[in-house]
Amino acid sequence: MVKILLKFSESLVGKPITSEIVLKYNVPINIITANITSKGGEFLAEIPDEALEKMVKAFRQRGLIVTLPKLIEIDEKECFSCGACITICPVEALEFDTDFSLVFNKEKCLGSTCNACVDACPAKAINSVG
Amino acid sequence: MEDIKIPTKKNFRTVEEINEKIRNGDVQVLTALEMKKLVESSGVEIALKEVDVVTTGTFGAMCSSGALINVGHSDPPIKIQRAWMNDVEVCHPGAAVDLFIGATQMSEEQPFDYGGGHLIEDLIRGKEVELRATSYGTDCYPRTQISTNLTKDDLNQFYLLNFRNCYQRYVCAVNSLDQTIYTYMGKLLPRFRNANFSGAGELNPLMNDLTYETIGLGTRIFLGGAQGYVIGEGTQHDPKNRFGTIMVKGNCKDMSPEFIQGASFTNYGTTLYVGLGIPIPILNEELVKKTAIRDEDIFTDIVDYGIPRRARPKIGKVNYKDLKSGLIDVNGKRVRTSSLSSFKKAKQVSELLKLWIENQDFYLTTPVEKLPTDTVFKPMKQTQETSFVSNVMHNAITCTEDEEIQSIANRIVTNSVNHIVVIDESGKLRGIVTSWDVTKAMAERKNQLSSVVSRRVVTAKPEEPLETASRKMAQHNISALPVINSERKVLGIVTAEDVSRLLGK
Repeated sequence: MVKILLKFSESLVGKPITSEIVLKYNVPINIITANITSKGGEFLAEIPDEALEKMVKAFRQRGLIVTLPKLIEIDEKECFSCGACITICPVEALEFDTDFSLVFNKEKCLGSTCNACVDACPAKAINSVG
Repeated sequence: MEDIKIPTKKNFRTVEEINEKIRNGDVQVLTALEMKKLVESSGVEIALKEVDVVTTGTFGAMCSSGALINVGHSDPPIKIQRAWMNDVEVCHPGAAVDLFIGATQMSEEQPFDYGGGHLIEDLIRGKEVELRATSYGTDCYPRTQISTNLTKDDLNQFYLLNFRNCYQRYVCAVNSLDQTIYTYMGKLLPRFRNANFSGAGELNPLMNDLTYETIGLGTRIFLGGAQGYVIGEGTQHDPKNRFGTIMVKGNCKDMSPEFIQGASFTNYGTTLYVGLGIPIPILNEELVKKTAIRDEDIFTDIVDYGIPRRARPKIGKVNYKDLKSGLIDVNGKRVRTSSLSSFKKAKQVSELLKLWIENQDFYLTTPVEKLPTDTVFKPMKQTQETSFVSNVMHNAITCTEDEEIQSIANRIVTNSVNHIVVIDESGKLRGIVTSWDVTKAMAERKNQLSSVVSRRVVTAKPEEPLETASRKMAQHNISALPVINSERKVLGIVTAEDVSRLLGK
């Protein structure tokens, strides 16, 4: 599965674009986070690897902005493995190894749609990256 | 001062004998984690025979840390009155050019991101920092301002002088509120969604010698990657409640940034992470038992940091084994735990200290005065009464949801108030309308109250300190809080004017 970030402008919010594309291509997508109001918004979705290209194309044709979400990066020189970020992460992308070293599971991270860990780090070792 | 009590039973070995063994290269040192395993597998007797020293360690945020520096005299000389280093104000407690860098003092340019802790780390790293100082000028010290760049090599003395370090254990923090709070115990998610703790548990230096039999003034320790000393009890030392602390000093010029690191807690401030380890000489059987203490034997309280009072509510107990497992039980709910101190670094401290002793780089000391075991930590004596919401709240002007805008407008004018609290038939809070909402509704020719009511109301409780209520209003940029009881029944209202009348804000 690949995560993509889909942005709606105000003019697109009223249209059932996602449902139409899912029905047309018969590709299941998993919506992980969504923040959409009448003024537009974005949602983060997981798409099967093999369908990525055609789905991105389809969303873009309907006027959505499709990007890969920005992830976080941990500065290993600054991180002292306290673990303050671990419980803040809603998808358990941050955890301890058996020796209490911090491990970051990139594939689970929600990236810029979440960023909850960034301000929880006392070493300020977590940065949002593009 | 009372002499150190010599145990009636003769010790199995002495510190002098241990140092002799270090010199001969046949000293037996275990880290506290290794010692616990040995005692469990082979028993106390064998451990006593085989082990000379047990090394401990901790690495955590220690806010009451700082560094004393002497910057030397300028020409013409200045008697520094106020000074800043990298825009962090440093305290000037002494004669002319002695300065104290407090770990929690924040930069004036980048508060919350850079502070005294970072400044100490930068100096230890060998970085150049900017000193700016001002003064009033005297006949002997005529200079009134100076600006210069310094590294640690330019300083005469650069000593870490931490007046409260190495808490024996600490509480576990949770948050009962509906919103995330940022505290010195880290980021606490709403409604008990996480629990933060600090401390190395069974590896903590003071936990491995619970009664401070071998620790006191003059004990040589691992401090920030160099050798330092215990110089007495720390402030707030509370031995009876197992919240012992120590005061320490060490030469920053010898320290390593690997074990001294500036840090910042979002919306709280800056601090210093300190690596600290104490060697425990295994003099007798009692010390074997003491160093065998396990995480499951070390309990601490789960405390609600959502209530900003001195006596924060305790809502349970937990041991360090469960805290380190990552999941604890809080009132029947499974809650994930995060540590704020680094257990990985704590282990490194204990391992490095072991290596130093084995390599004849570190010799043990006998304290010349032990840490007190009977002091108590008193709360502040307050000579002014604290004001509570109940002291200033007054009756709220209320309405129900089915009323029309026009009648609300009349009520605002008749009572000359800005806030009308919306209640249901049983007096429970449903919302709030302000004179601004009503004006807006009338301008837009709306007549239904429901279209302008704010449903998410920030409220206060009568027993809440006025300071807390005032902070809430400032944070949410509002000017009044309905006062409710636990059943959400409206008891009154407190406004920004009430607060400013009493607190002068």
